[in-house]
Amino acid sequence: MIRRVSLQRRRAASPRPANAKSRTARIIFACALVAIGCDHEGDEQADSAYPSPIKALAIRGQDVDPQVRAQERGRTVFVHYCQICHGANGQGDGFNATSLAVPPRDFSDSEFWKQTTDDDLRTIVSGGGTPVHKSVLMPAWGKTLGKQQILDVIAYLRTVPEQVKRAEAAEAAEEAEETGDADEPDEESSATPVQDSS
Amino acid sequence: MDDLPVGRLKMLLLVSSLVCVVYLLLAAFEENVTAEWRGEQLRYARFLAETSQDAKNRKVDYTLDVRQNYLPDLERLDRCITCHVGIDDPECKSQSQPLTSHPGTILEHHPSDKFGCTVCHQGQGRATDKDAAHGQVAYWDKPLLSGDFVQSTCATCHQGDEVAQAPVLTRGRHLLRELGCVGCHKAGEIAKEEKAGPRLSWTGSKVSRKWLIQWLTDPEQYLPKAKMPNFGLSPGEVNALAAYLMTFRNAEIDNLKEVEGDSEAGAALYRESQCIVCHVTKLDYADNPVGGEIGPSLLRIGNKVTPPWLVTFLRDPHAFLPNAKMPGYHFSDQEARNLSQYVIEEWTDYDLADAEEAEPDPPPATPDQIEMGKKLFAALDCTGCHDLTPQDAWPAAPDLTYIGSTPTHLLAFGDAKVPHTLPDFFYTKLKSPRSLFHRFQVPAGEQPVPALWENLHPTVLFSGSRPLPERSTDQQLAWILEQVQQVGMVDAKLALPDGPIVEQSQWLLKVLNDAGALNQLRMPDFHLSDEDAEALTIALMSLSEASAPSKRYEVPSPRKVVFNPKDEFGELQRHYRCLSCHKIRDSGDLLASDLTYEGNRVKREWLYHYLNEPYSMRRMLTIAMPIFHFPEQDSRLMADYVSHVFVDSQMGALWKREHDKADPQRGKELFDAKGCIACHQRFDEGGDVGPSLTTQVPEFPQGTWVGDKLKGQWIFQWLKDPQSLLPETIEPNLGLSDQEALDLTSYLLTLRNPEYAKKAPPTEAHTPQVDQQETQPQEEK
Repeated sequence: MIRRVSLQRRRAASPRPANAKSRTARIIFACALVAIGCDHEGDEQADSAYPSPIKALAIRGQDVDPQVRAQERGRTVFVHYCQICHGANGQGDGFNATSLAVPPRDFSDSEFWKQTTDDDLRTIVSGGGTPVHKSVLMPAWGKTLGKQQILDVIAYLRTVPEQVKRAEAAEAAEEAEETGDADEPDEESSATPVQDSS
Repeated sequence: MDDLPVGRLKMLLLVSSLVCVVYLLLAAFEENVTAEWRGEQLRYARFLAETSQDAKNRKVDYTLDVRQNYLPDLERLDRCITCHVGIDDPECKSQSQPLTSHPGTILEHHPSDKFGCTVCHQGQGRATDKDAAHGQVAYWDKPLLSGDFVQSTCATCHQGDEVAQAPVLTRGRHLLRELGCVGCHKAGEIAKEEKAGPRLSWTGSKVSRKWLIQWLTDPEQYLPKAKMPNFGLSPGEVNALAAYLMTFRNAEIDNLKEVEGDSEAGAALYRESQCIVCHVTKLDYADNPVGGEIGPSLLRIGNKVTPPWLVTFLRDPHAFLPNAKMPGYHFSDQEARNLSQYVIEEWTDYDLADAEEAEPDPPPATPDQIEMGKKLFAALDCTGCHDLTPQDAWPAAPDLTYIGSTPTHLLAFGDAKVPHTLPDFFYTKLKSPRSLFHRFQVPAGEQPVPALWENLHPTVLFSGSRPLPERSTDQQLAWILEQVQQVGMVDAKLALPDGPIVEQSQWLLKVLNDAGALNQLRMPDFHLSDEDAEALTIALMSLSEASAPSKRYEVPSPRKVVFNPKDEFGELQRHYRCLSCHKIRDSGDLLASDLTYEGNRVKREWLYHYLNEPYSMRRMLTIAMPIFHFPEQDSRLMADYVSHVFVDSQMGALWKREHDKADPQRGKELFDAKGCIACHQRFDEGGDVGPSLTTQVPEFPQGTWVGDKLKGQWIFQWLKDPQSLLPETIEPNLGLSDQEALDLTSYLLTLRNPEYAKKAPPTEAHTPQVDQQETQPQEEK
């Protein structure tokens, strides 16, 4: 930009009329420089200096693992149809579980997962307990849920043991903290974590 | 300065031309050989080869090329599929971006070769490098939309407030109405229906001045989830507004003699009337509110309303609030007094009342204050949400009809530290409405003192009502400070510092800026949650000039059948406000059952008895329909009307034709084999997910069983396909054959309570008078 301005000023100051050729040359030269100079000028403006206040946009462009997406979809299905018996965390302790003669499956049991494949689960979810000689109290969902929904639910169920383990660990940590505070209320022990964190 | 000789200029021309040519060559190389999309297409070709059926011949015929969808109808040329090659290939589901297939099922109805990409996702369709295509470059006002934000473009073709596949957009548009945004702003087809707040014409008789002052200062102090936004008023403004509103009284309420009611009888009435369904009445162990959110919370209601007003309101809620969702109960004077007594005793925060009592009474309102309050009421656009006088005009805040098409450079971001994009503007404006503002600077060439005076907010309280007194400049500055201190906007202890006038006015400018007294933005703070602000942002983005390019793409809003017949039942329905809980066709709410096909569902005798003595069908649930104490002719008319009008003659046709082929014994075996007992109670055994089939309540021995209540046609249809009758039900579709469904239906109909049979049947059925035009499904025009 600066070059173009100085060039114009020079031309305006020149008392001698420039011949046609050199004027064209100057204009082309100036245009070329300006064009090259301008090419990436705007890019800086596009990347705004401030982060977006919108949470959903702050993670813009991040690629979500399709498996994670399936698990999230599966969780919605689970919450709507299954949790009333199988429990909010899939531990077989739902609101209706106590009314059932055969207790609902606890999905946090890792032994169960060692013996069960996705195909087994698909059969049970879509056909109910009867075809696999399990409790008739588990109904068949094959006509209510779509194929994809059943796969999603299974994807979610596979995450149950780990989630339960994580929740338990968090709870234990919290409890330990609470009892720790209650046992030693003296100033010295309570001062230690403050120092750590600083 | 001498000019350059021609020879050197020629050299310069040569060099610059060479630079240009080299630059262009490099650009061409970059564009064609090292382009990003080539790499992606190569990756796709490799993927095709790997997954190829023919394992031996792992060569796939795939040419690398710029791919595009040219859609002249939509005026689009989208080259997105140059990189997103697998977008409609389900095999690519497990691939990472950009090869992955489109999530969800939306492409089934919107194939990419018919709709392209940018119609929904925006961005720059013609570009072939990533940043440019995603529109994340300068001067491209429509960057790529991601996540829920894509829903903002659905409105291009889908008309109406509700778009089934765009739940966040639908919610946002609902909020625009619900929060009263459309009371002050025009927003295209999202029209005003009724005002979001209550009528204020009896305010003086309803609440105390002290309460009103506290409410106007901070609504959330009294009601944590107050619908009314915080206007950030100064104490002086609050006093003026309260003084004005308290002048609106009702002589009838004022003259009502206060007679103490019987609060125990009131408590019984409270339980019968199921107030908790609509009102929050207590907090649980974690301080979460318990109760419905249809009506206002009852917590601390005793601190708010006067007993005479409450009695008058309970007698006839619709006289005060014509559009209230509250049903008209048939309360007598005494009953209303009893209930009012109970409500006020139960929900008064006595600590708060004592504290309020201890506070000195505000000095009596002056005519000046009332006049100021009147101006303020108009200036704050209170009429956007409240009716006060019949002549109230709708306020005119900025028109939002095409706000979603505003170019970014026209948006006033002020000093706010947010990215300059449309969604960020809306979101920030919604979350903290007065933050998008430049600190006030005295415009060049203007006198600082008059400029300060004229720009004080809100203008009515200051410059609009009074001119600046003619005194020396420093006295004027001190006078302005005094005015602002009088309304409590600025700390009363501050005093103008000594020094030259320029410094003094700079000081005052800073003080006023810090206090927000020079901020002209008027939108109040709704304390929106992040989710609500996002939904509203999406709804605002959808209010754009973009429209479907031709009729072919237009999706008209689904036609709603509003149920409001002009017959006897219609009158009852308007009085008891059935639609506050029940759904009929497309009107009403799904808090209770959908009544659209109630005539197919329940027997007339059962309905008659139920209306008189409602009870819960579920053992674990104590909430049921309120006991309305319907007069005999009302419950009879409702039972007759429902079984006559709310009927689909086609439903369960097979049952009607072939029910004699059904075998209850086989049905009983099926009942056991299918595990129905897991969810339904039968003879004190079974789960509590669905309704009990044999309601066994000790205090209700004549309770009805499934065979007493339901009709065979309904049970049959329900068993065959429960979701066809209630899409969100969790009753599984067991895929029963016709014969199985017939058998099971006939078995369920045998479950009848012998006690119930002893009950006196209602009088003979009549054919009610019916408004045919309103109740028959209308032909498409």
